[in-house]
Amino acid sequence: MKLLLVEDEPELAHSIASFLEQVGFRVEQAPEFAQAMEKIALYNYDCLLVDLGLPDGNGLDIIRALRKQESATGVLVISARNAVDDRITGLNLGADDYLSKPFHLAELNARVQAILRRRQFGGKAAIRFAEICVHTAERQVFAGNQVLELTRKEYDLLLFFLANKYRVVTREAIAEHLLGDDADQMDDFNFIYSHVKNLRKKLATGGAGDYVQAVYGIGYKFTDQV
Amino acid sequence: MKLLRHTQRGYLQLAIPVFLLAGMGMYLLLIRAVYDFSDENLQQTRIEIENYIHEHNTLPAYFQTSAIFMDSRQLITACPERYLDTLLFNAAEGEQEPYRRLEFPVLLQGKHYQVAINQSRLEHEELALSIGLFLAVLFLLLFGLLWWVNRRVADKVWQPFFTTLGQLRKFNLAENTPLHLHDTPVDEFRELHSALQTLSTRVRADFQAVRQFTENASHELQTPLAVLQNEVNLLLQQEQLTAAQARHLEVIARQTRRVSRLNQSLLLLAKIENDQFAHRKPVALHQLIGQKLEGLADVAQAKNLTIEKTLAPVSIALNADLADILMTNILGNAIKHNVPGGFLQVQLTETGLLVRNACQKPDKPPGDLTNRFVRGNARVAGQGLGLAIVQEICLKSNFQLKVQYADGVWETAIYWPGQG
Repeated sequence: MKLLLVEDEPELAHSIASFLEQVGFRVEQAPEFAQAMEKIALYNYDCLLVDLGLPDGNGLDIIRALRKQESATGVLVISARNAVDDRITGLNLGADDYLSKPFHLAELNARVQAILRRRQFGGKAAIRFAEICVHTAERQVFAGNQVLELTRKEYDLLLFFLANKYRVVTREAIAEHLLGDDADQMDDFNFIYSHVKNLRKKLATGGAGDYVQAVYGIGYKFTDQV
Repeated sequence: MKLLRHTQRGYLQLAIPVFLLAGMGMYLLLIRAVYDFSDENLQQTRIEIENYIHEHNTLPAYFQTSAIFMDSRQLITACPERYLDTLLFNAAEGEQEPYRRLEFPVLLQGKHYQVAINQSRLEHEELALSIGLFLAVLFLLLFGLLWWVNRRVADKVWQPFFTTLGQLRKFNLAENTPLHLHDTPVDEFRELHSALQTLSTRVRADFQAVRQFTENASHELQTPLAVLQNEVNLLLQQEQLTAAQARHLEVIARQTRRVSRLNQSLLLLAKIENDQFAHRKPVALHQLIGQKLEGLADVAQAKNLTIEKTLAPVSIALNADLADILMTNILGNAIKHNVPGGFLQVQLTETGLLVRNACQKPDKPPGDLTNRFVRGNARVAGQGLGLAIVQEICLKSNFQLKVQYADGVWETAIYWPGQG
């Protein structure tokens, strides 16, 4: 999977690229508007990550150019301007999703994977991890052959873990993923414990292994390695 | 007091004494003229009488014109010639009437006579009175007419002023439309318009600059914070991380997050103050509150809260972003500051929103908590900006905010003005 990251801040771009490469993506970078326009004209990418505020141009114009080529490339807008107008314009121009800075890398990763699933498999992708299989179109989770009855939040949590498997995801990242903007108000992560507990219980009842590891009170890691 | 009243009052203050003095002067002049006329008339009659005496060598037995009659008597010595005002009995009218009388001596056959001719002043006084009255009415009419014309002209002349005033009232920086004033033929107003245009252009430019600054500040601060957060996250992924290192990183991550939220809250406050959320449309509050409570249900459940809600269907004109932030902050606070196993009551009615929740006694008086950076409870993490943002939103939306605490219960009440 090849991604193009259009971000003018070199250090931010580097941290994003590092994380996504660790997850297994190939990441190319275009720190400037002109460079980004050239790259989308020459190469094919699975997903474009574009910052709106570029020093030599508007990220929205890159999306326009891309959509004119009628390419199937997914687009994730990342912007520091958390403005409703930008969000609406971006989505109207054909962006798949919008993420406002600052964001958690785990969240970015989960969003990119969701875009790729939608774009490439029409949302029909099955995500597998050991004996766990998630059919995203039907929102069904199997442990082996057994269907697990998960609540909406537990399902979201599992998908988030799977997108960031073998990675440490912090409680903050989980809280924001589950609550969205409302998490801004919350500094109390107790509710996460109960969701994680319930998810583990249901996975265990379904016969799946316990893949959720607590990491030093910081967060969790979904892994089958000890 | 209106400007027109001011000018008209000054006008009146000057006009009344002037008119009074002029009226009095005119009356005196008229009286004078009447006397002169009378006296001349009498003099003329005297000449006629003297001629008669000269011709006939005897006093006329009877002399009367329409308004003049004569009387005479014999004297021992010559009398002086004199004019005088007197009252005489008018037989025709049967009463005393004022007369102008000219007495003059006549020497006839060695005898001294005093001849007097009398002219009634009644007619002349009536004439003077009617002329005076006529003039007074004319003055009043003129004055009234001037007043009316003045008013009409003023109304017309000031029309552009009121149009301009209306446009100024409607002028809103956040709406980003330049001030457009109608042309007017009056020089003063044209000058006013050009000054206002210059002013509004400059203010708009400044406002844009502030807005740009807000955006730039946001961008500039968020990026380093995002880099920090990402780097910490990347460090956390290291396999060889020890528990102690992880704890340090966790603190860094948490504090970075805190600064980042603080930055966002301050930017939000600045944006609300700058009226950057001016666009309003009807917001279905019952739906919004329902969604928020659903979103926060997890957190509430973790605290084992009992939630009780009575939501009447209410739609009010409000900025959608602000409505969202308002509800998030109020309901978020009610849950965040709640006690384990506590309660939360949300009551939405046509007139307002009442949120009551169990709460520990705040360290500061409730009224202070709407100030910035005042935290109600040191044991609950927070920036001390939540209620300040609520307050600011209420202020901008013309809502009335009331917070109070009594016996373990916190109450947040918002009242909005009647819609309609």
